[in-house]
Amino acid sequence: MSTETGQPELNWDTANGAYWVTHDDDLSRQYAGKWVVAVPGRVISAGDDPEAVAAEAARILQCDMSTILVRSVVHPDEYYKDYPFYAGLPASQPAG
Amino acid sequence: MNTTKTTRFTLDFRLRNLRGSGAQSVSVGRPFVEIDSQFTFRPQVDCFVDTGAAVSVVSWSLRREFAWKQIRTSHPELSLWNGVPSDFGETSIRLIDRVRLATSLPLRVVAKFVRTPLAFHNDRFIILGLNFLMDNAAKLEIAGQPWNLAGYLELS
Repeated sequence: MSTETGQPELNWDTANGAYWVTHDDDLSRQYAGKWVVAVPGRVISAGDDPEAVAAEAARILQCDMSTILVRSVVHPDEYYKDYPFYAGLPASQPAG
Repeated sequence: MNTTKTTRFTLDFRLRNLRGSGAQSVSVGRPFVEIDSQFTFRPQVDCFVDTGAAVSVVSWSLRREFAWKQIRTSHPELSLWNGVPSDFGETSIRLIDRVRLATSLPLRVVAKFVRTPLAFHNDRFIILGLNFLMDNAAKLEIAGQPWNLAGYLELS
């Protein structure tokens, strides 16, 4: 295992911020369905377009946007929901 | 001398207690891992391991955002996920460990790429099936207690 990938180093503050947002139920409800860049204790940018959210965060954090982790936030109830079953097919179709 | 270096990525179960009648409750959760996917920016989505899944699954939204290549197959079980039409293909992700500031090498994800958007996890999810463990020589360990689940995904 190596961390040497030749890629820009991840901005770990944004990785910790992503964890913070997705483990805070109130924030998860508030930003459900959005892409978010955060650092612990502070949401930097949020919106529907992940690339735009990253670009805005890069401007505010004054760092390279390719280092920023942009998190998709879901409602806390999604974590335990059962898999969806597609109803658009005949019942004879096998479940995968 | 064995010089193989292994790294353990902690599983995050996000347990919740769902209450039934009276004092009855059930703890539910899934083993999530934190991922990094490198493009001009780094989208992170919900990614969890499902040992009941033979093959990994990538949602419709992600098949449009992630670089992936299709693998042609005539097996119908590789082109349907829970009745949802899918295409069989391959992409890669990396796992991250925020505590040790570690990132894995790119890991192969051979999966069903769903053709239809679904409300499940905002249609931004990756389910890692057993083929992910085989492709990446990964070890999965989960230990349960009445009050908790804990575990890790080990890669070498």
